Amino acid sequence: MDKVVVSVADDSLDDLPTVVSALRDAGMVVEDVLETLGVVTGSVAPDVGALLGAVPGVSRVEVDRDDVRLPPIPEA
Amino acid sequence: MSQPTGAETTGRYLVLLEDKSVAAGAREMSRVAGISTAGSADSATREELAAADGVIFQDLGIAVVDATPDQVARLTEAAAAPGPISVVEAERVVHAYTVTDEAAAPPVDESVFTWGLQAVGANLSTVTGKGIRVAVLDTGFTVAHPDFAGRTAVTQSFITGETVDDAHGHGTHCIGSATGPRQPAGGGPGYGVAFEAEIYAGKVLSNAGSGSDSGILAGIEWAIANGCAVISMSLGAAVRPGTPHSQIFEQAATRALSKGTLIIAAAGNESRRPGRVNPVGHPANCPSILSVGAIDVQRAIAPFSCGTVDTIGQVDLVGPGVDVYSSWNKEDGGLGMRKRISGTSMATPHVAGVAALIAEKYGSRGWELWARLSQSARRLGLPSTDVGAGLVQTP
Repeated sequence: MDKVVVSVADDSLDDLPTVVSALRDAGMVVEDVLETLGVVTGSVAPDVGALLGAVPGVSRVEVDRDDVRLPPIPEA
Repeated sequence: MSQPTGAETTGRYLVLLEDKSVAAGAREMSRVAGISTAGSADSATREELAAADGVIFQDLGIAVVDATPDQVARLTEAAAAPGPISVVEAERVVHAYTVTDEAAAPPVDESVFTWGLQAVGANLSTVTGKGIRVAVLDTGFTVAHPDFAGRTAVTQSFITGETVDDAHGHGTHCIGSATGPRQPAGGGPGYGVAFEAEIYAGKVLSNAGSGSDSGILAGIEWAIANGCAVISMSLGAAVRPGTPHSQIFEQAATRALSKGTLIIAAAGNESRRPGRVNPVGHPANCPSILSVGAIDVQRAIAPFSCGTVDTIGQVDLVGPGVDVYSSWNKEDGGLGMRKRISGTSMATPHVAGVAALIAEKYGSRGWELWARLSQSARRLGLPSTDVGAGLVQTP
């Protein structure tokens, strides 16, 4: 499974449950729905991620980067 | 005679003598113009020097002489003709170059306030951050830190299997700079900018210092839901030049701004100046996330501070980020539960703290808060690609 981050289009924010439901139907395992940001996080089978972009109300699909960290601390 | 144009002159003249013709030059000056000279290195007495019309610097082959206009004319004539007198010039008044760079500034006294607080003017401000909620999304917080006794902190961990307790130290350091004390209970200098702001500590980086986009977005959501005016994020992922910014983080940032929450993030520490400048990392490279670079105590760009290298990521402002003293999660290095470290990570919470003070003073939120931060920043004599609008200043 690939972890993904999906953003919902502005004009679909008021109907977030419908978009989340459609994402599930498309094969996404939804972990979290961030209602204020209009972001849905979760995972999908490999190669399915790109298909989520075709789900009505979806704005963007990006890989959930797991390499975010505190910047290496230089020598003081 | 060559006359300096526009320069202030002394009324005396410099006479350049041909190489190895000092003695002959002295005789020639006497012969053509009646000027007597005493040598600087021979055994001329004070009286002889006073009586002479000038002095010759033997090693330089230069005489400095008093001369009337008539004598100057004859010396100039001699210089034009073959002989030991080569050049005659009016002596110029010279001045020391005014020292304008701050490299000559005395070391900063940190006995009362850190240099960082002084650099942003927090030590001179009466604004405290009271009533403003500041979220720091990092490695968590040492809630029981003695310097924060009596303060309340709302905490939330977004890391599976880890409490908000900061086993790393980085988060506690950032929270210290943004919202720590001006008069620490345990002594030492004050180090917190918005010392009465409400602390929201979101743990989105593990104790090992790593995290994911989904956890950071969850932290941003949490901060917005809690009405935080400012989110400070000293985190990121390095990017290669030309890499597009995340459209999801960009959209999240604009939605946060529309809810009155400004996201401030570290530009990154991957530069190795002067040789290499690396681009602003993810997610600070999003246009609607305020990106922070680091300067040192001399107001010079920190060698590690990421910069604007293309049209994607850009540095918006800078803060104090070298040798920054703040709270730490444990005793480590003889400063009690405090430590000195460097990074754009340290500059970022200074900017967040200043943002909280501006939010309190003017009631500004979102884009207006961003505008006031930029508008009031102190301009530095450094490229905007490195420092954006400059060094943030406390209202």
